[in-house]
Amino acid sequence: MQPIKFLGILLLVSSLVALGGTACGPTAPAEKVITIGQYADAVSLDPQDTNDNASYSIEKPMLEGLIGFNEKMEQIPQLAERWEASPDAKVYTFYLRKGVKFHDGTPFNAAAVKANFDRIRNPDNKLKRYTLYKIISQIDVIDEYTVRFTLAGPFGAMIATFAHPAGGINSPTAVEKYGKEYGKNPVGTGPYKFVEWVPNDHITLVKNPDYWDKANGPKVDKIIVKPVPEAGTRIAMLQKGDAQFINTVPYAQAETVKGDKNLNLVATESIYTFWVSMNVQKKPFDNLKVRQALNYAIDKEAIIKAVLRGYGKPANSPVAPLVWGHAPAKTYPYDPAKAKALLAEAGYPNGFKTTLRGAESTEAKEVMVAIQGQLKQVGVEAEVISLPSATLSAERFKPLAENTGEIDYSGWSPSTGDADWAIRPLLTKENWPPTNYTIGFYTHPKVEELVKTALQTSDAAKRKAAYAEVQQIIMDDCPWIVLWVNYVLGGSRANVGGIAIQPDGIGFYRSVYYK
Amino acid sequence: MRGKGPGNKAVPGVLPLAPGYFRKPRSLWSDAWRRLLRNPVAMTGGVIAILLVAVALGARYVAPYDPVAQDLANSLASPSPTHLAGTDVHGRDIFSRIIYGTAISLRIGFLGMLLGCLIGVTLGLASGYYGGWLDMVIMRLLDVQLAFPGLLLAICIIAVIGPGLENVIVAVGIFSVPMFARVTRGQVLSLKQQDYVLAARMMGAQDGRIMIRHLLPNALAPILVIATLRIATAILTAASLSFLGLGAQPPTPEWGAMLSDGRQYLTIAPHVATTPGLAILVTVLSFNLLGDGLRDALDPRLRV
Repeated sequence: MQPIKFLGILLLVSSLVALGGTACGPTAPAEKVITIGQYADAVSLDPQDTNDNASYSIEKPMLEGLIGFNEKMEQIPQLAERWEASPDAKVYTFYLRKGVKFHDGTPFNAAAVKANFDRIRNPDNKLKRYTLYKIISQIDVIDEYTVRFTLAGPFGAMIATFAHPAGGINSPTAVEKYGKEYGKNPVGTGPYKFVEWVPNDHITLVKNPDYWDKANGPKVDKIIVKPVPEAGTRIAMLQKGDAQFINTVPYAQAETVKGDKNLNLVATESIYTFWVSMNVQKKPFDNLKVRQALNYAIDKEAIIKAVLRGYGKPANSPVAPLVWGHAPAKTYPYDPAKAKALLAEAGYPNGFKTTLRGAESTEAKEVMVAIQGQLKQVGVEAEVISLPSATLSAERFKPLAENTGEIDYSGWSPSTGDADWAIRPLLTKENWPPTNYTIGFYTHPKVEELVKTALQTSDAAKRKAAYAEVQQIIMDDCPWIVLWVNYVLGGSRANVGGIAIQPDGIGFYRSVYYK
Repeated sequence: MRGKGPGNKAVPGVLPLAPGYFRKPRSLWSDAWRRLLRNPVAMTGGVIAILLVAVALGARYVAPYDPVAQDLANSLASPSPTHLAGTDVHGRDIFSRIIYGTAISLRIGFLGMLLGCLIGVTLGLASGYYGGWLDMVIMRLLDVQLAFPGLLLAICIIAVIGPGLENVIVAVGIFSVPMFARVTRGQVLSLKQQDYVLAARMMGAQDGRIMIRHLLPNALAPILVIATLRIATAILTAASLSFLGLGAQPPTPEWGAMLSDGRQYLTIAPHVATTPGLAILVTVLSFNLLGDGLRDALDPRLRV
């Protein structure tokens, strides 16, 4: 009789469990969860110690800055209601939002802001974004909700620098509590709160029910971000519904996403400009005619159509249209005959040999091969050298005397969204390697002067005028073969909205909702 | 006709010998050749291999287009009468690239095999003939090399000497050395006990002469089999290295590199990746079939 008795108990228990299950089901509404397949895992979740877009994408729903960007890269008030800049671009005053609390209950106020920027501008903390804010010389708490920054010198692009994702405000209590481990335990004021980070598996965020902006609060209960480096896997996840959004979709697979009626391709015009920088300190690139010839030799439209599968547009300035201060300057139409004539005038009727350096990603290689093919049409034999990122970076950052670079395919996104960061690091003498990214060793007296002028003032009109002139000089003097501005592509399920990739390549996840 | 041959003179009391009795004895090689001819699978492999060599040699006459000429407006076109195998992302004719790629792959296959063969056979001969500490040192070193998985070893070699097609030949060659050395050594170990070798030594032949004139020709059959099979392995290894970006550099029409380039277009233009994949398949298969056939044909235990 024992086994039968046991079976009876088992049946009773299981039916109770089943009943309980059905009884509870309808009362608890289903949790709204969004799963995002992202091309990489975060490196850190401390915005002051982050310099990669994968990390910023996950930080942004949790951490807000004094100023933020909307989806068009326009500055919008976030934790500051308004701000003032002195005309000499040295003193910046912020009037803070009242009644905001961090996720851990710490009140958001001027002291918290001061603590944040004191932390990042202290070189002893060795934070990756130290250089962005080191120009701040003094921070004064005027009252509970007013804070004033004084800079060591005039810096007209400071407002944009505050809007940079590194300016995300962290709870000073949490920074104190976690110390070195803060990057794994972020606490901010955003619509989503941090729950857990299992490296190389997932990061979970839950909604912040007390978010200060009721109109733009969280619309789902949970966001799970999974690192999925292989693009094919990301797309399969999206197709199966295992992910509701993927960041990113490679151009080659855009058609696959677009052609699926359950999916949407989310394309955003970026602030990335792509270009081939020429080492203007070396022959033959010291010759303006040669540089112009190479600009005429490249058929940008054709490469965009074939390699970028149409997701780009030819650039008419070194600064992308969505960057503050962009002014259209000029484009070089595809004209191989003119290119040949210019090369002949420059003393290279039969062209020359050179090396084209760049990254080893499939996309970079395809672009470089296309450029190689077009340069060949005008007699320039370019050997393509694609290098792994660490080697490439080491080669690019070698000082002039040791740098073997001739022409180099690269791209840049100014993450402050301001023309200063789109020009100064790339095209001025004090930013030659090994200091920064002027990898073509370019310098031009007028450009140097204008870039400085634009930083001496906070007057937007004056700054814009200076940058417009710089852009014209760059396009005329062509230290680069200016190529295109691309689109960044994400993919979402058709029933999901409010999610995209920002023009700067950072995921914009905070407004996601189910339709 | 019978009885008119010189050796068939009718002698009373002696039966005439069967015709062909005095036929020249067949060598191992002609025997093997006959056996090979009777093996249809091996012959198919052989014929394809010969065709591939012909295509490789005459690439410029066979290919309808320049393999690196781009036509970006015609990117990822499907196979059609104008482009038999379609075009890749740069609008290059895939059929022409495959044909030029044949020359590249076969060259790597042959040269890589040859390099491995030269070094391997030399080491194997010395090791087997002299024995003792030399044998010990050579074989243990080769054991160390064999302990590495093949492709990984090739990648390590490329990492040291740098990427590029010429370096792939070196990598593939080094990677084939132990195979040749072990087979040669095994042969030499048994051959050096043979009477004719002892006789040669007794007559005062030098070591070098014994190895080259007596041991090597008799050890050749298994080496030839290994060599044929190694061509296939070499081609596959080279394609793998190029697939990983360590071999051919753009815009070289190498099959492995083409396969890698086409991979991301699998969903929208499958022909870009499948065509070089098929080319690798057919080539490697043909040399493997030929090699297997040769092994059967050259095995003295298998009689016709």
